[in-house]
Amino acid sequence: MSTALTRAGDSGERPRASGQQSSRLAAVQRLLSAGLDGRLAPVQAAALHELLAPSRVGQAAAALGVYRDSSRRARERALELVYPVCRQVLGARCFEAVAASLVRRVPSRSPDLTDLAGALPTHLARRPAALGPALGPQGELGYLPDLARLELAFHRALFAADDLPWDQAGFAAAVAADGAGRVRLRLGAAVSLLGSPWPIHEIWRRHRDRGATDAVPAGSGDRLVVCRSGYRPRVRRVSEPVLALLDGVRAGMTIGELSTAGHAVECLGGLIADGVIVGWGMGAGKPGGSGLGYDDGRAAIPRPAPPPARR
Amino acid sequence: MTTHAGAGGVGVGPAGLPSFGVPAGAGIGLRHCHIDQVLSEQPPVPWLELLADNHFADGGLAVAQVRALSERFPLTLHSVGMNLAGIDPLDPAYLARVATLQRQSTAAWVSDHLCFTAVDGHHYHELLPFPYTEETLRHVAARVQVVQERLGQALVIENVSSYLRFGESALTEAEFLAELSDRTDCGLLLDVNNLYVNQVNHGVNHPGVNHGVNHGVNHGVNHGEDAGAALSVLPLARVREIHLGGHAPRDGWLLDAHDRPVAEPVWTLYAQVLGRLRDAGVGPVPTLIEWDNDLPPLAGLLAEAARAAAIAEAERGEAMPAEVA
Repeated sequence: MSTALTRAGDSGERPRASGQQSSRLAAVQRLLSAGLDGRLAPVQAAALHELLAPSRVGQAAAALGVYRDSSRRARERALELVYPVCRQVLGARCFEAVAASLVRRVPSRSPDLTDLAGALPTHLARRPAALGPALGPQGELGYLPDLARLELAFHRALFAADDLPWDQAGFAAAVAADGAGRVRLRLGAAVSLLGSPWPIHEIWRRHRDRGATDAVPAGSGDRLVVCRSGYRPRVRRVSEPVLALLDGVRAGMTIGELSTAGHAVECLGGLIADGVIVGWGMGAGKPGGSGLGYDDGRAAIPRPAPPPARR
Repeated sequence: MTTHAGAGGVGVGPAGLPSFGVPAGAGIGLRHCHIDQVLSEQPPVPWLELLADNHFADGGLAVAQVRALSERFPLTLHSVGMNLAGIDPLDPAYLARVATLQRQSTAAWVSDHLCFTAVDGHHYHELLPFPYTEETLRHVAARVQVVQERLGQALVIENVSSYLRFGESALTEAEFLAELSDRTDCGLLLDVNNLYVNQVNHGVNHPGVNHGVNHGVNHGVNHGEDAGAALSVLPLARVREIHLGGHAPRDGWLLDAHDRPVAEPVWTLYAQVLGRLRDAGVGPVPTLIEWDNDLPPLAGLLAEAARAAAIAEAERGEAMPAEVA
């Protein structure tokens, strides 16, 4: 090895803790990062050029392009994996453009590419103009953000934690001791609640099952529960009262509060039997459960007037 | 630098490392599209490597598949997100997921790459290069130590394909890895395709030296990336695993694409690597076929693995005394 190197142990110097930065290394990585993002100011571009050694093959800019393309492609591929039906609806080239638009605008903030993929529904909903008139709320593909939410919930259900079996004896004992009114129920880890003014379940099912592109009756929109039976994710259509009931459970309401609010508590038994509700707790606080359909910050399930029939 | 040549032996790991725990034959990187087939047919592949990031799950089928695979095959984990050379703090949540998967899979070891993948919280999902200097060596060594303490075992670190080099680098990648392994007792994953790709992309310093064995060691700035020189520098007894993958040409570059069969020059270099390992007294090392994009049927992967095994077998045959062979 080079004699210029001094072992940390030989000098008595302790290795740096992992969070402490090497300022020189930080500067280099930030320059490279700016280059990958295409946000290098001229002075930065010159600085980066100074840093790089000549290559046999080509200029630094070309090499940077190799990394940029590979990085972009990895992120776009993750979107293709999570949203196969959206890709089918849009077509490969159009989906690629949508994915590229997301990758340009939304930095990946996690080593898990699913986290980046989770930004697509919001991106589709918030930037319809940038993505073309068909994706606007009144456009032909106005349902696409909700379809993406459904695909995301389905994907996440695949990897969600396994739930313990419902403890009927413990539940009965707790109810006998304190009454059912104080019990808070818990949704399964794989459960997501989705509401849409579009018939997204039928659109999703037809594309997924047979690649169908024929018209789907508009109906009165969809209220969906994504859950898992064993290893298999399921999408269930439910009534509006049941979706509202589950939304209350997800929010941490006790059975007493659900009843007082007029929710359809008579449906709880069936939801427990179906594995949508998997646990319970007593006292204050939410007992957990996921509300993945609300990841984009929607405060309530929207129920606008149903749109006309869409494919 | 400690000299490791001759320190190893068949079935014996490098000093400070636990025994290999994986058969020395040729395995495959298992991807999702082949999992069901591998579980049902149980092909005679000696071991499998899982791309860790593709198997992170809290439950469900993914966890069940990993457990089922671990009951049938020796496994290793290959990770791409530790950000070992990054300036951001190591991600405890990410390391926890790796550690959980390690427990679920009973993997013999976990590997990651000599690179950075994120800056200031922006993740690029790409193996990005950095300058090889004393300063960066201290930085990476400290982070590798933290990871090893978190995982409770030696990390295995892979050389990467690169398309950029830094003028301020005082070391070659091989010199950097040699010193890093000396300071941290980490293992090494020798990607033969990456050695070849770098040699083509960055050239060889000495005219007339091809990708064969070159016993010279280059010191100073602007090194070429001669594969033979790298093999002379790397502490071969620390090599736990060898990777072989396909590369793609693009505008004069070779890209580490993992989308096609291993190229002929890489097979040639692989045979030379095995010879160097043998000369260094290192026993058979597990070899892996990596294929991530445009995946062939499982049989295609197994055929590549069989070719690697045949080359290793031939190399062992050549190494045996004539009366025994």
